Amino acid sequence: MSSSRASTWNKLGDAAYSKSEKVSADLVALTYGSFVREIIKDYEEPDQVNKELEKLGYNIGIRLIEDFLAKSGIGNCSSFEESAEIISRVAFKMFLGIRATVSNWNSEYNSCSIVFDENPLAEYVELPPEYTHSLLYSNILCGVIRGALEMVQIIVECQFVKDQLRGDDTNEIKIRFKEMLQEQVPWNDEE
Amino acid sequence: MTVYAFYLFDRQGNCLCYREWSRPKLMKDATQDQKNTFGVLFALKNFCKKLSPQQPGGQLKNYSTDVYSLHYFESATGLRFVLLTSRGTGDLSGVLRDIYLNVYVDTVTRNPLYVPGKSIQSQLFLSKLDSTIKALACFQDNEERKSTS
Repeated sequence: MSSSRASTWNKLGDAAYSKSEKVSADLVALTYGSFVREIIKDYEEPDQVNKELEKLGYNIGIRLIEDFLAKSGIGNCSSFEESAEIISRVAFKMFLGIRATVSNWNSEYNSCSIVFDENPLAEYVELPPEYTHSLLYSNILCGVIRGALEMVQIIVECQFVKDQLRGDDTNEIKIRFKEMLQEQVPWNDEE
Repeated sequence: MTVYAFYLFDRQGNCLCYREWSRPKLMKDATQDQKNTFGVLFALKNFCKKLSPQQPGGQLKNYSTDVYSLHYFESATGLRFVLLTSRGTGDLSGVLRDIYLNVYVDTVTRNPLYVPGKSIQSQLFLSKLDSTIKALACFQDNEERKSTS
């Protein structure tokens, strides 16, 4: 990935971030926190909670993509590599106000990691011992990425592999490219 | 110069919105007309991509006959915005892009009660769409024609 393109996207992310309306980070952190607490009350099993958070993220992602395309002015991406870079440099900056980077590309270039050090969602959070290794607190982000990419015909699998709330040094989401959906003829019954 | 009608399709071919301001020819069946329009555009888009001299096929913007022009804009998410106008309006695909960015995203995408795939009922969307179209320079003739006839 050329560094000039990377810096263009960084600038795009910064520009989109400065144009956006801001909300209080505390409000987001506390709202999300009470959200997760309610879901834990409803579902109890950490695996179920993780799945639910991902599903919620998916529903956000399918709408967020339109907002993202509108605010950033980005058109179609030419490759999965480009999509991953844009997600981390532009989208993370625009919506979360943090700079993320892409690393750990595998040899076929269909799997990578998005790494970020600050997580505004987990600002005041400490996980109790029974959840530290099972609850993926910010799993909503994985759902958002999956939902947003699905709307532009890219199917991926997203998973948290490192989480600062678990004691890791950084946060890392692994994205695995599964397939690119082709344009399908919607109905061919009457026509 | 006039604007005849507006269509909005999603990727699956559902017509999310249809508005007309002046459609001289009577349509017998709205659903059939919408399906036809979607089908034509789908085929035309593929055709344009195949004939394109460059690798990323490029975007269909508009086509014209001697009687009308059809302007087209497709978002990366597969939303298709279509405007039917008379000749002489110039290329309005940029206007459709503005409608997507400023009207659709603000009133439909952010509306939690809107179910993707269903037709748009939001009055806010419809009124903003109306005012955007009516503000176009090429729309004025509609009003003049109505008052003189």
